[in-house]
Amino acid sequence: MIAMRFLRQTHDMEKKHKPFHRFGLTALLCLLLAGCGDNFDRFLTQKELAEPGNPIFQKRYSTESLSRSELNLLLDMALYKGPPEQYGDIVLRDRSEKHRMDPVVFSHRIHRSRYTCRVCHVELEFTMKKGGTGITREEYLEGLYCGACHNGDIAFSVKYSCNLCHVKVDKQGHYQAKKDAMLGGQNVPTQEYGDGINWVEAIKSGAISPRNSLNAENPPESMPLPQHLKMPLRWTTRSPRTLVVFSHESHILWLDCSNCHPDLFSIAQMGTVEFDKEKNLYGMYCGTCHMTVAFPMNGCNRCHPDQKNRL
Amino acid sequence: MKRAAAKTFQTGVVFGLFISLCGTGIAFAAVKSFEYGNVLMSQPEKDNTALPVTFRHWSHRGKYTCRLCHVDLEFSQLANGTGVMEEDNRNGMYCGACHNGKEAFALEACTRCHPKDKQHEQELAQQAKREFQELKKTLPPATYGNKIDWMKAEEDGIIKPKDFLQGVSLRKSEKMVNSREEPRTPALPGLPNIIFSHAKHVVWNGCGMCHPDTFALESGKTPITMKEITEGKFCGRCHGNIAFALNDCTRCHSKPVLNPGS
Repeated sequence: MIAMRFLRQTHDMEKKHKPFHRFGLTALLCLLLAGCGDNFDRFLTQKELAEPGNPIFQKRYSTESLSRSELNLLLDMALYKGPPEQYGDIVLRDRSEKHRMDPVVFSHRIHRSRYTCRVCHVELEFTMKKGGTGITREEYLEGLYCGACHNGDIAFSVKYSCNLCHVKVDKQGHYQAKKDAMLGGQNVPTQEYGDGINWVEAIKSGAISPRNSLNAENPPESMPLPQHLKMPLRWTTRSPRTLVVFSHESHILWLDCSNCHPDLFSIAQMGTVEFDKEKNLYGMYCGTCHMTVAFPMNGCNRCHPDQKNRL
Repeated sequence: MKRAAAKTFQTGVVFGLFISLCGTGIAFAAVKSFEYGNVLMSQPEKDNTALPVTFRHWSHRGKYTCRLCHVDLEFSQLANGTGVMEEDNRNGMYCGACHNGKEAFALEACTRCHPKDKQHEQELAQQAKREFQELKKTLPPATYGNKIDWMKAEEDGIIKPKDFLQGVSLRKSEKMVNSREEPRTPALPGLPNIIFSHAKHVVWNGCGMCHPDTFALESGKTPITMKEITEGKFCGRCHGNIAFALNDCTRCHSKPVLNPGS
């Protein structure tokens, strides 16, 4: 069935792009069809042994996905290729430049070795969309947003050290990357894409222990995961070759349930139906974090265990 | 071929951006504490000259119970379901019941609610944000929603919401008040049990806000799923919009499960 659809798709593509090398495409098609079934089955049996009793959810989709060639084009353009020390940096210029200040460069990398995502994105009400919070000087001097920590007590004060945040950024967007003030030192596990640090492993191995709340005396209690979410979830994808593995456990190390549910992902089982790779690459669903701050989708292997990373 | 591919890619980007803009508009609309519980009151089918009023629940709920407006004053619980007209307000219905110059500022102060123009709308919003931060400092904190624990504020006597308005409210019958606790077991194994407290709800809502329209009178006879709640049904009629947010899982799922394995 899926093979039929794929055939039809490639046929349409050939019609659209006449000078396309017909031979190359047919050869590619043969290779794909020959290889995919075996790999997938082999992978399934391996995984089945490793995680007995964890079912695979057959995902139903409501949208059509991109053809492979277009997806490849998109991946080439969208995946992160910049320097690791600048991955996750946010340059906030709109409001600052209106008030004749240099833009603010916020480095996620420095902050996340000390605090989990939850602290800022739930407790301090930073939105996950750049520029969406609408921070004003009046507010951070009052102790809201950045001012909650940058008060001279927990971190340097917003009153004095202006140029630690407001830095020169030229028209091409170049700036001097922030000095690495990360905790953990040599012990932090590394990876070859994004900001170069495997943050989930870093917490699990104890190399860093970021705080999960600013309220030290009365930290919030989080709800235990229901039984069937304690093991990684596994979904089928539209392409027959790959499988998605999603672990709630490694996400709640950093996040609160409410960072994702129910706004980004429906809480109904298999409720998010219009989910596909393209929308993710445009920054929806997983792409909300996994293209900008959390590891970028260059790390294919982290979610699709039978795929190689695209470095 | 390259050009054609680039073109399809371009349209893809535009479409994608469009989708993501729509998506984020909905997804992140409700996270800010000073905007939690805000209702934009507009009647798009009528050609209005006035800009829509933003009603802020947080500025009212410390002073009055939910019941007073939603039962006695007949405000619908659905945004724009009431159909408030200027004439009604002048006749002392809806907003006009309190905004008469005695209980609260009079209707003549139009621009305290109706923005003059787009810029004034922003100024009003900024002003409200400031007032909210001032109010928040005086009340017990919470993690989600308004980040104010309204229930605790009422229990501790920091706020004393009025439940009776002379000339509008009738006397509440004390005999009918039910303060039973209702334990519920969630369908998913491993989730903490729910304890529903009538006592905590009655303070704000009396009986008529929930029964018999939203919940059947007979205990445990209304089948509820969490998905329906997130869609604004059952508990979600208030929790998730105005009353404490749905993110605050442990406030309902509060009783620990003793044997998670069984």
